[in-house]
Amino acid sequence: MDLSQTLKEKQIVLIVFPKSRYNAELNNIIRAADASSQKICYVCLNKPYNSILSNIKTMGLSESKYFFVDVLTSTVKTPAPLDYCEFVQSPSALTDISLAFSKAVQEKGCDNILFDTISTLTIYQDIGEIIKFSQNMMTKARVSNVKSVYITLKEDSEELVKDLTMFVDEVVEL
Amino acid sequence: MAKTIMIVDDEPHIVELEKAILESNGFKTITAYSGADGLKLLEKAKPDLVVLDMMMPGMSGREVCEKIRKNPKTKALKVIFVTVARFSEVGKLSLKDMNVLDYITKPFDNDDFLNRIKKIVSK
Repeated sequence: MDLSQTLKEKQIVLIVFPKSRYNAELNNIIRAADASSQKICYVCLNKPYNSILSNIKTMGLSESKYFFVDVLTSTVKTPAPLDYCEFVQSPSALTDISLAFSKAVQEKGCDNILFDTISTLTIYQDIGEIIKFSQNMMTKARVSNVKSVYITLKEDSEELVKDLTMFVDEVVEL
Repeated sequence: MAKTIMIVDDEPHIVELEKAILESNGFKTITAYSGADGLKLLEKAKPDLVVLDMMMPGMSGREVCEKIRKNPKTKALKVIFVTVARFSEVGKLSLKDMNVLDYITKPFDNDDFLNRIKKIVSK
């Protein structure tokens, strides 16, 4: 099954690939998620939202289809409020990310949540906390009947991948 | 003779609740608040069942279970998981691979918790 088909058919998907292929695989994942969703909540854990937005425009995708949760920009400056982006104070503010998730689903009508890249959180948090957080997000996604995609980099944490595997509908190794 | 249940959970109120349910029904309990402490206790204790929380800081229940299965002294122990999230179909297959006999979702019904423990221990 190709990635687009998997993202269409499965509710919660974990995608694992090596760090060296991040840029190339990310574009494929964005295209596949874009094709399987009405509106995407893009949780920027690895790059600030403006970098992702610029990438989305370059790919010729409709930017209006995206709502961003940016955990990086506020760590370097105070961003001006935006309608299409929720700024979270820092990557370790997991409760705030969870609240932004709820806003994306309830107020912005997002039907797919893309976590790019969940394993980046291992820099800031204990793996147990990241797993608890991810589990909580997955439960919220199931209850709200929205899809979610979790990108992880192979090198970041084998244990994180093994634990998340227990709760997702499909694991895709690229 | 009373059966012994080991409870491993990082949340003290859950440990206390499970301990109270089990001890008031004739079980003996051993408790640990982290996976590492649980594994240390298993070097000496030989419980009839290990009730493992899935999500713990430091070492997850899955990781603890893998270590139990790798150790010749503990590999045959009966293990069940307690979790706040539901396992996916992929996850349920992993449970079989790890020989995890059941899983209980938090918050649980006390009677259901007790009945499932009784059933597994009596097998």
